[in-house]
Amino acid sequence: MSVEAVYPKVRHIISDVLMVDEEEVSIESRLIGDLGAESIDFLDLVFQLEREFKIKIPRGQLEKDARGSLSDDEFEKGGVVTDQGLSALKQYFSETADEHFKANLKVNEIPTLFTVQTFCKLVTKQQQAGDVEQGTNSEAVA
Amino acid sequence: MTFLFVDALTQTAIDKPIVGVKRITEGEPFLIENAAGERVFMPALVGEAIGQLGAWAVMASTDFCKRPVAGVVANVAMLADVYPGQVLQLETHIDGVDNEAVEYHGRAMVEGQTIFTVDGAIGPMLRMTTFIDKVEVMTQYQALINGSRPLSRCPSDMGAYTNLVPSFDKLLSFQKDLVVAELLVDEHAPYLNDHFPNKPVLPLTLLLNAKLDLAMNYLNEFVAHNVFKPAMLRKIKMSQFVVPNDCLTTTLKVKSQTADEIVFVFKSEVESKRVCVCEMVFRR
Repeated sequence: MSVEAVYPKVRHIISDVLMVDEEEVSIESRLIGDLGAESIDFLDLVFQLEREFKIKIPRGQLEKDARGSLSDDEFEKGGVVTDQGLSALKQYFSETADEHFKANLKVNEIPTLFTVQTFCKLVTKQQQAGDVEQGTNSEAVA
Repeated sequence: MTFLFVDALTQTAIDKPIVGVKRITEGEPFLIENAAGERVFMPALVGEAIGQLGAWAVMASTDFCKRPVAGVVANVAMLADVYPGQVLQLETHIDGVDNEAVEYHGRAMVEGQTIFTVDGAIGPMLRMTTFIDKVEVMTQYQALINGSRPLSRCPSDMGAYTNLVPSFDKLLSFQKDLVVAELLVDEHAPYLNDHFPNKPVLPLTLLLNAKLDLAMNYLNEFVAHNVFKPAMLRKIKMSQFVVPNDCLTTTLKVKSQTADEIVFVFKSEVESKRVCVCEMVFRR
């Protein structure tokens, strides 16, 4: 499914998890800065998305995808994202406005970049990963 | 006093159902009166027992370096009361666990009949020593495995424990469309010593019990010939710890109402910061 196709359901789940009116949630909304999400909400959100879309979202998947092929040392030093790491984040979280990618961004501040679209992308990616795995398993069985 | 609601563990491997028991004795400190005036084990604490059962197994799997704390619960069904003399057979299933969180579901049975279920529970995993010293918790665990844990007993000075069960002692608004109430966490409350020794915090389940009471007060006030009973708790989320001397402000609103069911939504804050939300379903 595409981002556009999953957006309505993701939006509904986010509004339910964060207890905000759906009208307040747009695809560009940042979960922490705009919608007031807290760390427990992310656990709740991932659980709800997994159940709704029948996917598995491994812990830290977003950071792992954003990091791409960068090693730990290339991505961050002393808990602060490097310039190289920041470029990787900007590329991955292309839906997030530039102003939020501040210099000396801490690794534990990466969730401040997450938007509703981020989770739509995550859902579609995990759906595709699940489809590929099912296809591989079917071939193996055949 | 202790805030432990598992008396013995009989199966602790986390890839199988975790099994244990809790005996409800006449000396159980947390006996309350139900709507019919009968003395029963506080229903919310049956959920606490199920959670603690899973927690023991998960803590053991981390060599007692980490412990889960209350986080999110999708659904709790309260099917029957539990009376002194009965034995709770507890069963918890770990659906997933890693360094950050545990997911589980479980149930409690009395004489083979399910009386309480917990579904879709998630608990963040935090460093053990923030809450309790490793040696102390390991000693408690050994007692559960050996079956040598002493049964719950009311302390001889129980009469002094007027602050045992927290309640919303101040009503700021009590209208049909909105109830606003305050609960002050008494720093001398006896349950705080064990929950937890290094970081005393209000147990989520005692807060839920206070909310159940508030909802019953609402029903007795605004529903003629009230016969509604608590059936389900859902969408429970604890966002922050509530510590001694915190003043917790809670709003209660009716989310929906039919002839046979009424659903309340609760939101609790400390200094305008969300700490706990839940819904409660009452049925005839």
